[in-house]
Amino acid sequence: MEKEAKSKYANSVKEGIKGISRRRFLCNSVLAAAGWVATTAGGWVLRPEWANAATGPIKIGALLPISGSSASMGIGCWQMMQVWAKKVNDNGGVLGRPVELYIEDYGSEIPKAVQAARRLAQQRGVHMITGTFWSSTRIAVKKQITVRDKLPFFYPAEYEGGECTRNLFCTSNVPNHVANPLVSHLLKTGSKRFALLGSDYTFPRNFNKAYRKILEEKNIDIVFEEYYPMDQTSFASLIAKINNEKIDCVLSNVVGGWLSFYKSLFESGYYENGGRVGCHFMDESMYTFVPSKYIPGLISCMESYLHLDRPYNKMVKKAYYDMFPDTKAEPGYAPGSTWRGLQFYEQAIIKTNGDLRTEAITEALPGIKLKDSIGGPAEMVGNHCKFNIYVARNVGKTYEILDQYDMVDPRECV
Amino acid sequence: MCLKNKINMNKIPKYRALPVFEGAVFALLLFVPLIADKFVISSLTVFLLLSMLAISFELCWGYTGILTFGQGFFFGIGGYVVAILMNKAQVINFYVLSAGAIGIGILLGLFFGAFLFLGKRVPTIIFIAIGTMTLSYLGERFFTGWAWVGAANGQTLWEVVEVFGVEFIPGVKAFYVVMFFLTIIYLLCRFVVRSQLGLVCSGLRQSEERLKFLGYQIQVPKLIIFTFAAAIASFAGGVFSLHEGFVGPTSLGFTFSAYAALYCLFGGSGTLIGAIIGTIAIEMARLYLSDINMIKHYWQIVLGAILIVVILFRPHGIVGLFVGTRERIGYFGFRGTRKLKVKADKYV
Repeated sequence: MEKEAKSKYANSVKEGIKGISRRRFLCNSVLAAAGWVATTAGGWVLRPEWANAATGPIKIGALLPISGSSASMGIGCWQMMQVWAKKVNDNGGVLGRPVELYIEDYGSEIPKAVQAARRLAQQRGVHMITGTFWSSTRIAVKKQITVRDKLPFFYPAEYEGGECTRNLFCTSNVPNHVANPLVSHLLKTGSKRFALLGSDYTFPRNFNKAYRKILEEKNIDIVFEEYYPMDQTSFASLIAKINNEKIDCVLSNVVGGWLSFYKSLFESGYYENGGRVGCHFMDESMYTFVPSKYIPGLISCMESYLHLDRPYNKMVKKAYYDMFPDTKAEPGYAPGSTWRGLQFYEQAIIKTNGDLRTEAITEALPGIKLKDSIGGPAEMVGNHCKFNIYVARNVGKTYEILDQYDMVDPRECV
Repeated sequence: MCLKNKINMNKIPKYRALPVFEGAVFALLLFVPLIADKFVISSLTVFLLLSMLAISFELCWGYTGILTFGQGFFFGIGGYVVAILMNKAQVINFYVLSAGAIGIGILLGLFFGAFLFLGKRVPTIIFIAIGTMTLSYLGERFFTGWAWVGAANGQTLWEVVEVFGVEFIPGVKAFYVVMFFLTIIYLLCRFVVRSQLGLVCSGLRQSEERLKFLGYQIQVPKLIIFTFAAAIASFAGGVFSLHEGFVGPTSLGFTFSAYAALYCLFGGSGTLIGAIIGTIAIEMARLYLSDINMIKHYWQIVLGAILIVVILFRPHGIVGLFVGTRERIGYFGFRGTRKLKVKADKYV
């Protein structure tokens, strides 16, 4: 037994000598690390080509997922920020001060977002932060940004509503923006039997709550309302239920496993039997996740679409693709909301005559009107935006505009 | 007698590297705030809290042979208890909040530990690994769907608590508060693993069959260590949520449990200090790798590759580079009073 043990030990030592020794490993590691740092290290900062020596640049922080599961959306927003910064800097900056962008990638991991936000504020010294996609990430970072670091925070994603934190500004849609236009369009075009579906978390539940309220006020039949776990991938029983119950309109807030859901629904013959789907958060950038062929005629409702036939949209789209001709991240609604937030921030700086203090910016923002932006004019009402809402239908590789509602009030934090 | 002692002293190295290593790491940590900026200090505070989670895993796996992937569950539960006490019961006393976190850790540790260990049959490593993994998974799912605690969005902890008379907000003071707690936990764990209970646990790790043959009720020490580790993880989670100002269902999911295992493997399994070093090393790498433009979209893959290389080529982790196998495995009792027969091959 003892001999066996000794021989085992001897073998392990020999293997160590043949393979890699402790000293050798240490030396190699140090050399590799030094080489790497010397050749590749660089910050994530986009500096302007000119400077204002007297006051310095306006530093804007992007808190976005550039890697991980939400990367495709994060990259779109980051690229849009770069397009905006170039446009502003080419036109002489904001009150003569250039804009400098900083980005922190939180890798789509919520607990890491707090650290990333802290870094932007404390190490990069930014004056404002924009970003995050999911409400869970926003809720995780908002105390750090708005209270501890006392910075203005612009949230570019649509969400379930109810966010009234001071210094936090939401620049995309909430249920009060889209519920009425979407449901009204579906009703006037003949839908009668509705099913409200969603992934099981706050965002789908709150949107469905808004749909339910409108439908019930109009005495419309809601056949069923159901929620599914985010990691569900099989929807066979649900699809059978939709078809058996003769649902003619699915109001969908399914996010987890949505490709599987839409594909199964399409293959079940639901659309051929006259069924329709309404989903407020679909635009051209979502084709990455759900191909157009699985959602024929889907009715969507948002504040902007990529191919919206407006001069301002076309100008931004051209600038985006001129700067990033080979990009796969399309400038969808979230990059558009990021752009809108940056415009509001620019106007707030002008209104305060260059005072970048958070108190001044927060006081200045409500009431600011943008003559034109992505999707049309916009106005900051409290800490949310009033803007145009469009109802659109998925046709081929684009969305065809069906209805337009001008300057819809968010009715949040009143 | 003198001759005997002389012979024994020759068997044991004249001085041990591990205590020096431990002392150096703690001393270095103490002086970091003098040279680092606020962000680095805040980040390091988070790393120290995560290293408490890693220590709780190390106690189970490195010292007792319990392969648990449920430490993240206890970590998150601690955070939720603190959040619920603060947001629903308006408790802002740190000591009450901590007691709540530790209490729930002990209770749930005992409950799930009893379920896992005290069955008729002795549980296998796989049974425990899958069981604890399921615990984390179910915990995350349960809290994701529970609207009262914020569901998938989690909760923000707005209130500021005071610890030892200072406000617990990220910065130098919070760093030293966490450092103090880490030192206490470390010393406590060190005492436990070097005690007779620790000796039994080491025996369990090496060969349960032999321990059983010697007459030990082997499930009892396992349950004690599992519960102790759960309490540490829960406390760490509670303080983590206070420091970061939020808690969400991802905090108690499998991800945190897997990270805890990774920290320990990278730092060097079988030593408590390895858990701290592994945590700081991996988290630092995560922090600075994302800065490198060349790998900006792939830094997570690069980090994964580095971890795989290190674990493949240096299975004893970072600590294994400086401290020999014999010393990592541990001495029991006082130096020089007995002859130690440690067979290195058993611990490879």
